[in-house]
Amino acid sequence: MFLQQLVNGLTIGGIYALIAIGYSLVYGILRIVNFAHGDIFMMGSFFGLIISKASGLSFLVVAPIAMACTGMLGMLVERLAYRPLRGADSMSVLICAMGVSTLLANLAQLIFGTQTHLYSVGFQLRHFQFGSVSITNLQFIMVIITVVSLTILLAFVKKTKFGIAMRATSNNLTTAKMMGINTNIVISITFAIGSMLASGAGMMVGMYYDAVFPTMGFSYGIKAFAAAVLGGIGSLPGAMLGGLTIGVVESLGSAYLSSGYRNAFAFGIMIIVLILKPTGIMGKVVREKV
Amino acid sequence: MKLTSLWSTFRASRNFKWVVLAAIVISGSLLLLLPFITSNTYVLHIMISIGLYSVLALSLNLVTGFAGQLSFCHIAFYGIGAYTGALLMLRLNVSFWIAMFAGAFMAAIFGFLLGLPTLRLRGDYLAIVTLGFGEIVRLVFVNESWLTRGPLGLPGVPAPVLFGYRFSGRVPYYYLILVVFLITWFIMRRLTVSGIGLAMLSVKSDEIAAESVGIRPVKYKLMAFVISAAIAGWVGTFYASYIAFVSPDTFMYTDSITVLAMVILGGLGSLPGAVVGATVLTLIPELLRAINEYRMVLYGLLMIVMMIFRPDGFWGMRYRVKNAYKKTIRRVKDD
Amino acid sequence: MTNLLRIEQATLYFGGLRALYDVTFEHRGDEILALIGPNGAGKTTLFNSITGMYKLDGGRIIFQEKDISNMRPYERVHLGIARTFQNIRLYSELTVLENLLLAHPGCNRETIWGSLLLGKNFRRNRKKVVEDCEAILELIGLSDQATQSATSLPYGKQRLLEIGRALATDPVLLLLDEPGAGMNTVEKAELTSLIKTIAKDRKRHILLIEHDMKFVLNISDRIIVLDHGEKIAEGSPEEIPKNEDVVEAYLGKQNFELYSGHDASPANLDNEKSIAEEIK
Repeated sequence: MFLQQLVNGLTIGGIYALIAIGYSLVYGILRIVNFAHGDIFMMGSFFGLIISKASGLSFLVVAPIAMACTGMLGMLVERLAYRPLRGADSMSVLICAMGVSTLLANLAQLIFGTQTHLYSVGFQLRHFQFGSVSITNLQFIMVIITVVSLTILLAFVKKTKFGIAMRATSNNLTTAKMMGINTNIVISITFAIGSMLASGAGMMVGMYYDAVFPTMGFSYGIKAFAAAVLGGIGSLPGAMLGGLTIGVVESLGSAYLSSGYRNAFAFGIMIIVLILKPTGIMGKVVREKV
Repeated sequence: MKLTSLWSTFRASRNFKWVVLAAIVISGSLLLLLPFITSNTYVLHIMISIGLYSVLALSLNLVTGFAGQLSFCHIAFYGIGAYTGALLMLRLNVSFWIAMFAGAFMAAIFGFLLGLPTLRLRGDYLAIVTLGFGEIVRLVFVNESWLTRGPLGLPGVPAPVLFGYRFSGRVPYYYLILVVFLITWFIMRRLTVSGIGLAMLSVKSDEIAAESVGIRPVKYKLMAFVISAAIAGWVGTFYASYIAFVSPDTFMYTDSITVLAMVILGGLGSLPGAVVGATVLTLIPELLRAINEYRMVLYGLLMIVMMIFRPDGFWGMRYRVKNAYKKTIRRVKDD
Repeated sequence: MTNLLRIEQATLYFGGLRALYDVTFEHRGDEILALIGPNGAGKTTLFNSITGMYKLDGGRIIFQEKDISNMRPYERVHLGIARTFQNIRLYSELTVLENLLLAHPGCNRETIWGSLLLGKNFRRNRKKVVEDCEAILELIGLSDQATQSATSLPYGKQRLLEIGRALATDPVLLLLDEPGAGMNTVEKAELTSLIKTIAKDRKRHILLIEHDMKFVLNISDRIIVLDHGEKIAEGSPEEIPKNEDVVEAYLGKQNFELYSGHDASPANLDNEKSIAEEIK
């Protein structure tokens, strides 16, 4: 029972980590919380489902297309809602971000209906028994995809020229601009990367629970944000650590304490972490310049 | 821009005082006599909704428009007030009038407990904490069935009794919300014009400068948060009794967004703005039934478009009375 | 004899950067003390430490025989330390008068009940607040602009309003961070007499940072020189220009007198700096 919950927690924790990275990337560069990220995750999941249903193609082909679409959606959101507000006070940006989130969640309700959809993308689920622990082939795939994509992202940010440009922009946007970096492109691509990861996470969640619904962006969004904050927002390894922690705590909490409060555990942890150590586990303390 | 200059010309003109006075007298008497003009229960219901949302928008405006803190759990405080009031009336037979203040008190306590540790946080963190808190409150309503009957909700919340008269129909509720609205307006007006209001505004635009003149930011943020929660809880009990039913799905975070959209449309930091926003956004979905489905989409769009093109709202700070603080001492005689 | 303000071995690091190191000096009261030094010498950092925006990593700050090193900025204001900012921080949403009102302790410590009930005594108190602030407006020459938005004022007047706002807190010690930056010669002359009035007639003790040597030598009773976070000299306006360490800190081995000409005065540099900040 305990081990089983632990495995389930780690699987879903990986998903949270994938979404959390989107928050961290955007926050690292623009210092804004992209409230709409949870809803982009939801849209990514729906894209996978509708493209698969419409085309009948193998999900291996569908998934990259859906990710690309979600990436474009992320870039579009940045271009239309956030770029006009660059340099505005943080409250305006926050309200605007909340507006985007509300817009996306409710557009999805209009388009897809409020009901929960089965995630029928033709995936054959198989169970493997390891002692008392049952693991599905999907869980294996999820863990592998999570680990691989996070590794690629880390290498990308650390090693490539574009990654350096991203880190420079994140360090100081104005200076990066003066050094000849096209910060607008960097920001666009950052949104695209975050959205693509979220889309991947969305499709895996869809398959894992065999369900998608338009309001799921809200709870996943907050939980992933909780993960990002827990690990220290802006830090990529922190986001992973935070995601896994939230996943495990939630899984154990709903198994042993109360399943009705499943969502409350993550939110509760987030509130406590923010109160005790607002910089998170791996975040840096920065002295604010007066 | 043109509107603003027109406004200031009008303001400065000699007729301004009379026009405003006439407008207040006419609209005041219209509001007072409305139940005699029409007995249409639908119209009265809309008016009560407008009153209710105006009170919610006015109270949220203190936190967001004056103290500058983005709160996404205003409806949670409203819900805490509604449940507290309903439970006291149903289980303990407490009078509505006492339950109303108990609802306000309970919401204020939760506002204090949430605000004390979290109001030190940066704005974006606070926003997400309030989002989380609102959801936790709703989960408590859903899960603690022994107390709240869970998703079934609490039916049969009793009507208020005043001097032996038991409220029935819309009319008494209409007058009650009018009184609640006027009290809220009075409180907000006095507070926002005072040194407290000025201190809140200073915290909103520059906390460092505020501290450098001796203003303790957390104190004013907390004050705004608690007062606003108390008023939301207060009117929450009114709602419970008016609808005679409370259930968890009345207190979703989308409703917090709705109230926020009202404040933003009218103008952050403006009392008339909050009322205008509440009126417009209550009327639109009612008048245009067809768009009810698109209501939330519209609110989302509204928030984006307003922030990009008119972050000040339609009746924002730019119309505020200048040096209103000084005007409160006009009638003080020299010693 | 007791000192008004004593800085004892103040040390502060920003990450690896040593912003202040072992700075010790005192403000004796009843004097205009000036803090000078090249850009990046740690002057504003020291101000921020005195007012509590930064916490020292080492050393103490004693104000009127009380250790205030660990107090929050607003607590220090309540004790009587007020400041202005180098990069002006006025409230653009508020009027000129309101910018002063909110700094007045009688205004920003109003209670909820008092504001709601508006009793007779309460309104009388409010009247005194308004009169105090209007007197300050008179002093800084902004009475006619009372209802204007604070940031609609010209730059020089905004600096005066900053001083006025600090005065409204009823301070014992007034810290002025480059009060004359961006002002022309006429405005600077007016500023000099204003600061002297504040010191003499209103009995406020003054500590100021300034780049313009002419201005500093003219106004101050004593001067402290900082360079690279350390105090390198202390003395009267007569002594300082002759001090070799000071001359060297500013201009290498060149003539100090060059620096006092205001063509090359760092006020221009400051403008550039604030423009750069605005862009940011």
